[in-house]
Amino acid sequence: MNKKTLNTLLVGAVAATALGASAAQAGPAEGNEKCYGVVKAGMNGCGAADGSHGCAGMATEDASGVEWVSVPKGLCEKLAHGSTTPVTAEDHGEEH
Amino acid sequence: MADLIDKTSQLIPLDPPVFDNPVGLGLRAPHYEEILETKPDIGWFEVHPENYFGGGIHRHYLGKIREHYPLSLHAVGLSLGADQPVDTEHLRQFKELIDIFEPFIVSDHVSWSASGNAHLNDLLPLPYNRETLERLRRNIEQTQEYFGRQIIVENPSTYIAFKDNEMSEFEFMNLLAKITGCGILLDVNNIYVQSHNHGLDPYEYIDGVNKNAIFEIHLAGHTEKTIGDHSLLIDTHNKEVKDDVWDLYAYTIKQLDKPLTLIEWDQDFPPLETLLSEASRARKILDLEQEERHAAE
Amino acid sequence: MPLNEFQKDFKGIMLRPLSQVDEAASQFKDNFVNDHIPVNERLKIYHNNVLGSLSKNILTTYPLLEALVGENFLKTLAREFVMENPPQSACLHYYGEEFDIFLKKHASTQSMPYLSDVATLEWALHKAYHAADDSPMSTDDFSAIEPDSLADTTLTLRGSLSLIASPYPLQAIRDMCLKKTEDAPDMTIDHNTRIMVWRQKLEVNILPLEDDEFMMLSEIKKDKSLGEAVENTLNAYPDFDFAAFLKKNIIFETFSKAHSNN
Repeated sequence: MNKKTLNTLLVGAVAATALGASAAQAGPAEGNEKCYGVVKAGMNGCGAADGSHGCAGMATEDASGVEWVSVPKGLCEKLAHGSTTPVTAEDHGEEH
Repeated sequence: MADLIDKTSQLIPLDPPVFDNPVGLGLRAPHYEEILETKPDIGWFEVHPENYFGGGIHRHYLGKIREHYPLSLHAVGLSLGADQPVDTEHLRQFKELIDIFEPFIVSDHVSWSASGNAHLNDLLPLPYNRETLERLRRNIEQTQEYFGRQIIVENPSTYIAFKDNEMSEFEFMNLLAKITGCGILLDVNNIYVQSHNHGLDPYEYIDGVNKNAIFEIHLAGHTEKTIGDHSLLIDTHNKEVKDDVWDLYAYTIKQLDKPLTLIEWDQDFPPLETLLSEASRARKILDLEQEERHAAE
Repeated sequence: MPLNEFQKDFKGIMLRPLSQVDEAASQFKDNFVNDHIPVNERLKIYHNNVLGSLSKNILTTYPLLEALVGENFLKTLAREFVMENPPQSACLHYYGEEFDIFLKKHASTQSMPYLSDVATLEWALHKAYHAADDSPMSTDDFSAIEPDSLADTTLTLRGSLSLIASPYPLQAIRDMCLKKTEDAPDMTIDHNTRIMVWRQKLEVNILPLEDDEFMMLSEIKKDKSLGEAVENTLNAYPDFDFAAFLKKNIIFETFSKAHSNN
């Protein structure tokens, strides 16, 4: 495309928007999904993790890359490629 | 180093403002809407500035609430006790909030959380010696210069004690206030936790800390964790203030003049009503003290 | 022990597995008071606080992943991520951006290859939520650009905006996680997902895009001039309608500023 044609195209497009393109008049546009109307939790806080809860079962939570055994338990089971096989030390291979 | 503790800041000690209601609440996201709808009788709110860096929805609500209440910015991320300067990008974003929201006070903790580039998001312990004092002095002065105002620093809860402490924690806090001109944010729950965890007398701490430097008091709940035949108290901020801590608070305020008091709650959030009832308990203790003083006059 | 050395060593202990804390605690035996509660037990309180709070932050940022693999599985991964990638900032809403890359490489998620892309979507939503407030370009802002310099102008996308391309049906997976639908999407075909995530005032939005729009926005993101971006997009998609594209993106407030390169 030559420079002149390109410029005409750009200028024409900008001129066309002047005929009315503003967020205010748009309303709920097609396909636009509004998420997060709710307030998310704050990320920073100054309370310590609850030791009495946190330490219970901490051995299973602990992740070293070679010692943990954990099974995904959730909606992934419904997806075709979901896995419900336990992941064990052997599966970890040389990833890390 | 000897001259460090002889140093005295030329800054005039901070004077707390007088609010109709001296009791404030830690403002947390789940309560934004209800506070705006009901405008509860609370003197002021305090937030962690780090939650309002950037912009968007949290900042929007903070702006709305700020229209009705005084605000305190209580940081958890300056890492004043780290053996490195305070992160300038953190200071920049913090200052932006100070300029927008005009808090009546700005605070952080006597602790560290950063080492190198890693931020561990916890209030980690410090030895109370000259080296730490000097490091904190530099970082507090850097912060105060950047903000163009004095800050206050809070005594931490710790779970471990250093062999090479050269002084007690309250002596350390007093020195810090003296040499930097910063104020003290006295967390009464933390004093109780410290005393239990390290076998100290919390009342001795209250008697020893410099009352003139105290700007604000914190109250929060803690959790007991059993280890063998003993226990440690963890500063979890997820429940009501314990009765023993209320007693220590009542003792503390006898030595102060209607101090600003904050109820903190950082996880397992209860209904706003619970927080307001904690706040009114603090206010009753303050009012009772005032009545006793008048009766004694 | 010098402060610097103590803090480095302490950090090292915080970022290793619990099983190694006992052994590591012995290096501090001369530094800490060892009384009726041993030093290693005291260190474990901090260890739990640090890994517990940081991994909890990952879970807060990635609720769809939690719905997909469950809390325990995600917590295990999150703790490992935290140990390898501790936060670089004390402001935690900047934390966890690389979790998608971590998932892509991790052995335990190889049978769920879509997880990484779901994480990319979740980070985009999270980023949009916390992004700085910048103001959008209006039609007037575009009209104010000198017509002759339009082709050389570069546009800046809103700070909250992310463009995501994936073969997986990310929105359908999200709907399933949010329980908007019971149906699982077909995972055996390439869904050619092209979406934009951004914030308008206080609303975080997801918008599916056509291939040509996606390419045009990607070119703009790469700081290509308007002329070059349009030309490249037209070469790939001869039916690309720039006028419609511009109008739509002004309505959706996707540009924050224009920079003339003349």
